[in-house]
Amino acid sequence: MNSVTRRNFFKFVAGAAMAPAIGSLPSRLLAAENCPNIVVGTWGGDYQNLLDANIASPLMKPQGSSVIFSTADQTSRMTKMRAEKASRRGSLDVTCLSDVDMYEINRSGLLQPVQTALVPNLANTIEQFRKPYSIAQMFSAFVIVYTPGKGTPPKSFGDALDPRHKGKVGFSDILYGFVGSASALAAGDKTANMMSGKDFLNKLKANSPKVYPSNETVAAALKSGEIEMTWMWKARALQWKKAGVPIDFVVPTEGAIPALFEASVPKNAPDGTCGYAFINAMLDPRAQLAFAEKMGYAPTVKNAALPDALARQVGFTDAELSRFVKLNYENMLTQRSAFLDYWSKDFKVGL
Amino acid sequence: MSALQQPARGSGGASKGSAYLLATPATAIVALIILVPALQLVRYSLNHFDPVDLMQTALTGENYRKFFTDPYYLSVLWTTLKISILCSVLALVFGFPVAYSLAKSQSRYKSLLIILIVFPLLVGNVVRAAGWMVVLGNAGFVNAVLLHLGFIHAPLRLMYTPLAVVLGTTGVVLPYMILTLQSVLEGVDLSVEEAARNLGAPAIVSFFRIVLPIAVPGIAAGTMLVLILCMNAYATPVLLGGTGLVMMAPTVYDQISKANDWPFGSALAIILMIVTLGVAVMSNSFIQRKYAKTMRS
Repeated sequence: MNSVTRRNFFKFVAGAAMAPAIGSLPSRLLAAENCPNIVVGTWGGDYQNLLDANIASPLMKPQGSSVIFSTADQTSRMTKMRAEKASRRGSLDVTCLSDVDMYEINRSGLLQPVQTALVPNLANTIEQFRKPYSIAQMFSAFVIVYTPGKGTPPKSFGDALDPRHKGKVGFSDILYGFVGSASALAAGDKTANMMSGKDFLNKLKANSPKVYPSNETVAAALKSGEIEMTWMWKARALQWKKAGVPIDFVVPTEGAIPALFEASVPKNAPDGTCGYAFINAMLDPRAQLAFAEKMGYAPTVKNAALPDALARQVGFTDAELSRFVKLNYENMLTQRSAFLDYWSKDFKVGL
Repeated sequence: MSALQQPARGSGGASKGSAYLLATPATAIVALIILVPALQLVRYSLNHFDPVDLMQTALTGENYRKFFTDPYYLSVLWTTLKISILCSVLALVFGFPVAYSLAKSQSRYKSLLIILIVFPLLVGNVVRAAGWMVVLGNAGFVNAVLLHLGFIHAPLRLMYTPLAVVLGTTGVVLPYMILTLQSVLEGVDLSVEEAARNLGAPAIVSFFRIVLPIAVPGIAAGTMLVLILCMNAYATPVLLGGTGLVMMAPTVYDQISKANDWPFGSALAIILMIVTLGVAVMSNSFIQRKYAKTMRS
């Protein structure tokens, strides 16, 4: 008999209500293990391609995981994270930012503390780059880049004041904050607070430095001989050298300002566990080697096993590492606006 | 009046109503896209800047006060206005003859010429600026030629000067001016000019008394469009102006992206928007008023 009794009806309704949950059980279990949708907020271009070619495809895919890149510049990414602050579920499992920006976004209460148990590769990282809210994927430092064969090579940031470099020193406008910090070091402020660099920059102005709108235009100026010295990331200088720009570089005697590319998991990440799986893969020696080869940044893990030539090229000696300045991010954050005002309204005017 | 020109009796009100109805969704979407972010900017511009927390909710005029009391920002606005007006005038002067020739042209290559004018629009502003960098750089084309011909002994500094920005910006907006003028000129009866010439008017007289007045709607539309583009130019002033020339759009970007001062950046954006709108409306109404009689006739 096919009559629908009340009991049968309730059995059917209860079964129907449970069915999706039962059906999704295996996929949920799979998701916990394999991470089918890890959303990584990153820059586009080469960096994203390298993340894909050296982490997502070779390290995550074989585990059945899949990575989706949410590409944007850092300002857009930070804005997105701020806009999602009130949401229980954000859109990023991993966010990639520079060290200064990562500090700022953590200061806004948007990152979760690193769950070290989920990032076993963290044990291999260089101690001085470990932070409670992020992992450092690779690093470089602000060095002096110069054209060789033009007299005694510079050794310190302070050499930019030498009259023989008059009109031959150039800076990238977008690195104004780091130029400020380097100037502070040259002025004797070991904490590299950019506002302490104002006096040095005022003196430097008498030497007619140039300011270019981008890093690329600085490279063009070095290549054409318009300038003979700049302050730049070592990794970028290596890329220029490979591209045929006749330059050399030196870690300044005052100390080097580190630049770190970092990754972290937002507090409201849809799947933080998977986010950490990706972060752990970022610290895999194979991925670290690939980034050193292609981007010229030094690995942050001690087991990357770079070939000697590459290690000498991208890395820093222990002596150089000991000269790395520990930046005061809080000061960088609070002084940034005032220093940009000085940079735009005083330093750059008339150059 | 011919039957074709007669409006359908009794259908005027209804068709107007349905036209409004049809336009409503698009208007609502455009209003939403434009107004919501603009209102958001207005709100942000009244907040207080906090270097750590980005901004604190407030109702303060300090950001606008900062702009109007700081000679640096006023000079940036003034520079933007001067460059924009100059580039608009240059685009009009150089664009009008091209647009006029195109409008009059019966050539079978006319479409090809239009494609050639549109072609630069297919290339991004950054790429075009890069092209100018190759031309104007110290080791660029101009300096190489001048050095080769012996006119100069050391490269001239052409990059990062107002000249570079004016050249680059005019190059960017010129196709917009030509296409706007050409589309309007296509719609007017240029045989009036031929009649004037037949009646003995010299070319210069027929241009100023016939061609120019009938082209006014195109000039007004083109100038307004180009002026707005120039006022909001970003890539060209950054790449070709460098530190030598600072305009408003890069300054807005600097405040939002570099200084993280969103309230002040928003105030700058609102001021730029209002000034752009004001100047565009003023230039439009000036042109319209000057040639009102011609346009009415």
